[in-house]
Amino acid sequence: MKRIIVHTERCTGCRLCESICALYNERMNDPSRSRIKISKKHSLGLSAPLVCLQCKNPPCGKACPVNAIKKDPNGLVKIDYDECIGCEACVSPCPFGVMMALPDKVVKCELCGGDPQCVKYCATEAIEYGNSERVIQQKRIQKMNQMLEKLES
Amino acid sequence: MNPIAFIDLSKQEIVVKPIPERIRHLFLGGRGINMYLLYNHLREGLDPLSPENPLLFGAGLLTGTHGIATARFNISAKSPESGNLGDSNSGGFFGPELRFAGYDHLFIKGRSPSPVYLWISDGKIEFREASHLQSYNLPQTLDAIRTELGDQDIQVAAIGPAGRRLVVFANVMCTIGDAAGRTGMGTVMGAKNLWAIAVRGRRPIEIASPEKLIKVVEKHYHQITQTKGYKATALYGTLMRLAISRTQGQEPALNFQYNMLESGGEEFDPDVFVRKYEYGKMACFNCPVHTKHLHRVSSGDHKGLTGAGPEYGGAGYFGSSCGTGDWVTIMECWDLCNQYGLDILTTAGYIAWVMELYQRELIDESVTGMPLHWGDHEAMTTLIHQMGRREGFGGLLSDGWQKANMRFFGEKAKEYEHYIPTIKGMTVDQDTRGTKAMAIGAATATRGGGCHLRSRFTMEEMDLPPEATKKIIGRPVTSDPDSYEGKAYPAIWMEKLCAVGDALGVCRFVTKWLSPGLLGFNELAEAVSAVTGYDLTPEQLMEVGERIYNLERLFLIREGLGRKDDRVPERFHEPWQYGYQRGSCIEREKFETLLDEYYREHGWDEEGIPTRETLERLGLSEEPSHLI
Amino acid sequence: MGEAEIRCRSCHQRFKSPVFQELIECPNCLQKWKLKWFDESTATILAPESWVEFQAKMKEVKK
Repeated sequence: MKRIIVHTERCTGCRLCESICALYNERMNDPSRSRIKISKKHSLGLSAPLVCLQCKNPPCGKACPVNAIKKDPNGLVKIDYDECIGCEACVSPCPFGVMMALPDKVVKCELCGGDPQCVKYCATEAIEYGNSERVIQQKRIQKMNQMLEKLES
Repeated sequence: MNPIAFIDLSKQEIVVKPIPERIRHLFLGGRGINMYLLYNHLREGLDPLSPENPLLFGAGLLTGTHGIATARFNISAKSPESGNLGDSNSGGFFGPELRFAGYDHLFIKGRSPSPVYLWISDGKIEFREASHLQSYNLPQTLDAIRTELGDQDIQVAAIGPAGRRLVVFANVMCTIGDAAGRTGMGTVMGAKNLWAIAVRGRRPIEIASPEKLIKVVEKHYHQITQTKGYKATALYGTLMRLAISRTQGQEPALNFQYNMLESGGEEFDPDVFVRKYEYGKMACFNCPVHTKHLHRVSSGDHKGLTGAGPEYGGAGYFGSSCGTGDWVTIMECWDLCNQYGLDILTTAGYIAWVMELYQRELIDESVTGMPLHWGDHEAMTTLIHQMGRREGFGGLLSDGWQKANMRFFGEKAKEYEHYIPTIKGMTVDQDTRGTKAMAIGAATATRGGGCHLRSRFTMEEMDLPPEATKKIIGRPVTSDPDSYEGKAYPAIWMEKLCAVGDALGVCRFVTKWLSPGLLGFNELAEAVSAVTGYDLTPEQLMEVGERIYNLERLFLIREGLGRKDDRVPERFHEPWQYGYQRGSCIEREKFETLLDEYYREHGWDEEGIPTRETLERLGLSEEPSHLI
Repeated sequence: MGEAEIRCRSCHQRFKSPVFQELIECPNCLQKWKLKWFDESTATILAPESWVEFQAKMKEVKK
């Protein structure tokens, strides 16, 4: 399935993704309401995007006492807000810390209904909308080109 | 929109006031409102180190909003470096976070009896002990405060050892690479015993039309990333300027004595730098241009040295102007300045100056304590340590060039002043001999040093046909950069764009200051409308820029400056030696004529004083001067 | 397509360079430049072919 693929080494820490996410999904100017989060190592100026990877076996879903978090037919891990009781038991089990506990609800990346906005504003393509198979292929081609270059020289 | 907090450090008292709509319409925010406050609250003839010097932090009207490159904030006060206008601008994330924390402007007065930092979080303002930060350099101070407050998402603006020691050109930094430099705003903080401000907040900024803003941000993002020069700037950042200066014969070599550095070397270009030393790029809030070079020296004596930079200022001024093209020297000087919290351009300018004095044998080792040969890495780094610590020969420079010049030359001081190229008390940051609109903009810039950020009509050297310039700025301008004809208008147009940019908190690098295809008044007006609901036309926005600039001019006049100070440095009257524009210089008579034209275009009299008519048109001729 | 417009930094004449060519010569003043390519139609001058030669030339016509 397609999801947000993260290339950490390309991230410049601009946080445009957070801004667009909050603006698009909440119609608010408040990066704390973003579903994607940029984590920083300030002393080295480095940044890492953290966002829901739509796990095959979501720990958040396992932890939910009312079964409000399920994978839909496309593989998207979705919160059913009709069932959600706001206990936040799903927050801690997430290994990436991307189950966002906002003051009024928990939110997570749900890919903007199939057309994720954040990836459109990443100038360095540190986040892209794709699948793992494609990434693996790209890496293989890259490696192949490197080896060919070495052979030719 | 958020209020302004009046913070009295002497009494540890805080008063919060709303910012009247009227002031927003007249000045927008950021530098605009800072100048309004500074002009109205600063007592004439005040010592800049006095507790009464108002220290102003101002986030732009659009800062922190989800537009493009809306990162910036201004710090303003009376300058200990120049003795006149103090105004400094920085990117990073401090400005946005200040707004999320609930404040758009801070007015800080008094002096704390002991070192403190301010902790502003979700509307609350606290005074916290800072003495324990004494032994930290600037980047360490930023980390220490985040750690002790327990949140890595806190943004901090701090001074370093230079600011604490009241070196007059100390800066304020809010990341390892973002500085509010020039004019000594770090010195003012040090004089107030205010060592840092930490901010954190989760308050949304109110947006008049989120739907409009979504459309605006999409449009602007594409406009910016699809301009021709974007990819080069995204890769090389401001070092793109290095390639241009070196190849076009505009290098400030050996303290502006020459326009080409003979010893520059094969490696002194941006591509070598990026390939050899860069490990990543760091951006400011919401910016796709991400110019900051994260660097690491991977071998040799300085292996392991890391930092963010250098920008062109480091390459041009620690590089060419100090007589070296060695990247390791430049990086080390840059990083040392950032550790001390010293302004890059002033530090580099002073080093180049004393190197020239040494070259001309006007000072010798009995004064300097060491040889000062051009490009000598040891000398340069030693001088920076000395300036930052107020020790030794370098320590003589810590109180500014005028005092040092007096020390060196006594009665002859005035005669030898021309060896340090300055405008309005500060070392210059561009050689404008071959670009006359840039020259008039620099000579009259309301911030010292002929500041390239006050007005630099970059289109002047892009060889644009006059019809093209007319479409962009409203009047045709000759494509010949050496011509004086009609050059006042474009300089003034750019002044307005820069002032509006700073009042909004938008970075120069996404505006027509950098290149004609980027954002101009039309686009900025779109963003203002979407965010605030104010439907300012581009012309009305330009008028705000003009108003801010006129207020700054009034400030300078009140501090005793006038036509005599609207000068280029003495040596810019001597011709360039090399390259396409060899022979170019600023001819005195032609400059005076251009200055007359500049004053007329501005609606000022022959002495450069705004006329009554101009002030009335701009709403500056009478009170209300104390609406806040 | 297949070329980029370059403006010589020595004589300021505009000319076209074949795409992805890393070393080009100005047809007007014959100065050789190293180019950096970003895409098929965007390139920028980084440096002369040799700084030593370039600066020697500049010194010859020094004012």
